[in-house]
Amino acid sequence: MLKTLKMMFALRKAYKSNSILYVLRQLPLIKKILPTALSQSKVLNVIVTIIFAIWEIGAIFIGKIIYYFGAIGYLRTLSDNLSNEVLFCQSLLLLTAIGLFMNVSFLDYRKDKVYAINIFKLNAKEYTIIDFGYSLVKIIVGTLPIAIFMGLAWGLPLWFLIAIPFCVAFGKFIYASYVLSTYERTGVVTYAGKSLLSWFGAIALGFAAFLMPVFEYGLPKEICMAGLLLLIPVGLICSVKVFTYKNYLKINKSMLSQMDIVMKKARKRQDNQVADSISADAIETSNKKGFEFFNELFVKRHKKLLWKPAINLTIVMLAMAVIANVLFAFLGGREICARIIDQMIPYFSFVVFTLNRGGAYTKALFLNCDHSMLTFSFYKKRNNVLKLFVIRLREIVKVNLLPAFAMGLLLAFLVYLPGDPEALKKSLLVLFVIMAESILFSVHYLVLYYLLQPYNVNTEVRSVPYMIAFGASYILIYILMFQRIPLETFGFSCLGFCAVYTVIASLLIYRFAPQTFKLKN
Amino acid sequence: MRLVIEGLTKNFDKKEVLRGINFSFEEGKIYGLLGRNGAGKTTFFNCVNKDMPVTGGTISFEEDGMKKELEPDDIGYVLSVPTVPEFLTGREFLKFFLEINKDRIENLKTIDEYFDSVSILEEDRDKLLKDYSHGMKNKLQMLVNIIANPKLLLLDEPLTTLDVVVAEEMKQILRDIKPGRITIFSTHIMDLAVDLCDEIVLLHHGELEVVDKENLDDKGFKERIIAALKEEQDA
Repeated sequence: MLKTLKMMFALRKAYKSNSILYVLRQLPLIKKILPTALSQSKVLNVIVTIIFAIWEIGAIFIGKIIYYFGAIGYLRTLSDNLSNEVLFCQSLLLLTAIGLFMNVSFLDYRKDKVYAINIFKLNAKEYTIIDFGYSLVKIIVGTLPIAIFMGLAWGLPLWFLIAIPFCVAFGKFIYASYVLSTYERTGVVTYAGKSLLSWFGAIALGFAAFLMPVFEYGLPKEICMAGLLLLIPVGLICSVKVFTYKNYLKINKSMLSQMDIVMKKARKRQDNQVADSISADAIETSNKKGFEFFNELFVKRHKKLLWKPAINLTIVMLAMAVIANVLFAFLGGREICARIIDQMIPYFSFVVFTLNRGGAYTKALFLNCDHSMLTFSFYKKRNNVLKLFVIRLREIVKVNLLPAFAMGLLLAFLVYLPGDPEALKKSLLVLFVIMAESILFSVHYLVLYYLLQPYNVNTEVRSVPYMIAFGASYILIYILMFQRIPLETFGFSCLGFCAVYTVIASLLIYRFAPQTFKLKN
Repeated sequence: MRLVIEGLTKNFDKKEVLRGINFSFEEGKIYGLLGRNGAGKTTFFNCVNKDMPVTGGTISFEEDGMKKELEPDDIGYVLSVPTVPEFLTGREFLKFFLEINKDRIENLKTIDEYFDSVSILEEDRDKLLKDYSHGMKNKLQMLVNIIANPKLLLLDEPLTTLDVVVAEEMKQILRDIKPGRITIFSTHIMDLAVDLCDEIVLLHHGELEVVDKENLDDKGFKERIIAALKEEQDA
């Protein structure tokens, strides 16, 4: 058992350390000062071990902080009348219920697991139980201080707060035993959070957690507490199955081969998706010349990938606007709805970012166009790079602006519901903000693509600076989602930021794109 | 005109792939670049084509005693895997290429005349390039590079995967266009190199070295090349 535990940690550390070293080797400046034989450098190994330890420990607490202070803290802001205790217990029960089938680290796929089982031939039962046990220990260690800190401030009894991490951890045995029983019956390994049904369940519970405080409805706290505490005995009963199960090697092999097939299929589907997105006929043509001709044909032959989803989204948004209009004509609650939307405008930045077609557009640009064209020297000439950038920017802005306009109209309508002059001003601002954000994200995608060209010649994304820049944008917009900023302040700041960013990005493109926009090996 | 390479080095971390190459390529000749796997042939091409920054050294043209830096228009680069924009038809691709480069193309011909010159059939000219065969894509890629009329043509194993008919056509095209330019052709196929190239150059320990044919027949010449490559392995 101890040997398996040691091996598990050694493998995790080796796998994550190599990932850290790989990332460090990709960073400009840092890669120059790192020695070539990285894995043989003792000093570097110590540094990487420290980073690994911080990573492991940090991951235990950061997730829980976001969970308690971010999610439950956010739900608190939605209700004026529910007491802290009721809101805490109700939210925790509903969110824990989601976690019971969406977030269970039992027989989940990881690369270090492949090495442990397939190559190092570790005892599958010991390895699976230790790996699962480690995930439960992390839940308990991470949850305990945060639940106590927040729960005491919200007026809950200490004994219950101490029990919470154990309720959550023991609850995970229920899904684990379900996975084993299902495998015995069907020979198929199920994964937490992979089935459509589990997603529907999670969305339904998530909506319940969100809407109940909005409509000031609270479950009795005693029922919520009992529900959570019940997880301990039920989990204990289910744990018998986990500890006595015999075919861990077989189920692990099945899981790994199942996932290999799924991943290969997903990769193939992803590659084909872009390659197949070229319209099969050559009827569509263009009367333009030069780069305008080139671009117009690209867009026309990629309608399926670019315009079709944009038009579908526009239709959905407009339909929602009409439905909302009809609903509010007959139902009350206009002020509440307008208030919610008013407060949630930063949240829609994330929605606009997520719906932006910039990612699909730049991917198609590289795979179906630039990957080949960048081998021709005329294509890499400064003037040609800049000329095509401007044309492409115009195009991607157009594609994204249509659904953004529809979404802006929908939100503007919801903000305008009270019908006073102030509401009219606000609704116009909402419309402009959503459209400006759409332009900003279109610029952002294309600028990152030109400045940090993320693909290598084998069409794989291997640029760490690109991943960092993109990840940072994602996190920033995600954080923005939880900010409660008055609409006027947010709106005007956002419009200003969009203008400044676009100007700076254009200057950067003019200065650097001819050097950075090229094939990488 | 000569392509002059002086002290060209390229390192990947501490590994020296190109070690201070000093060499000069002459106009009107096809050079066969041979080397074992991993010798650095593609790295050499990427450095010349400026796709990769060099660690040290210079690459320039020398004409009438004057040195001049290589401009993008001076270089044509044909890869073993043909790369053409698959969303265009052959005709559209040529139209686009001719419009962008019309100011520097001498004796501009019609699109069909260009297709005829590389034997691309009429019924294929308006097909999307994604439906072209490997050989047809390769011909088109070569055609574009021929029209651009670069002073230096780099070919990275371009004939390796072609059928014998297309390979023969391509060889003839290369012979036809060699006057007035420098052609450097990397390949693993010894017969092809000996048959097509005027000079054989080995990329050897990170340096370029001409294999002198002297009075040897083709068989003797091939044996000498293999001996030189083996020497690299034994070194």
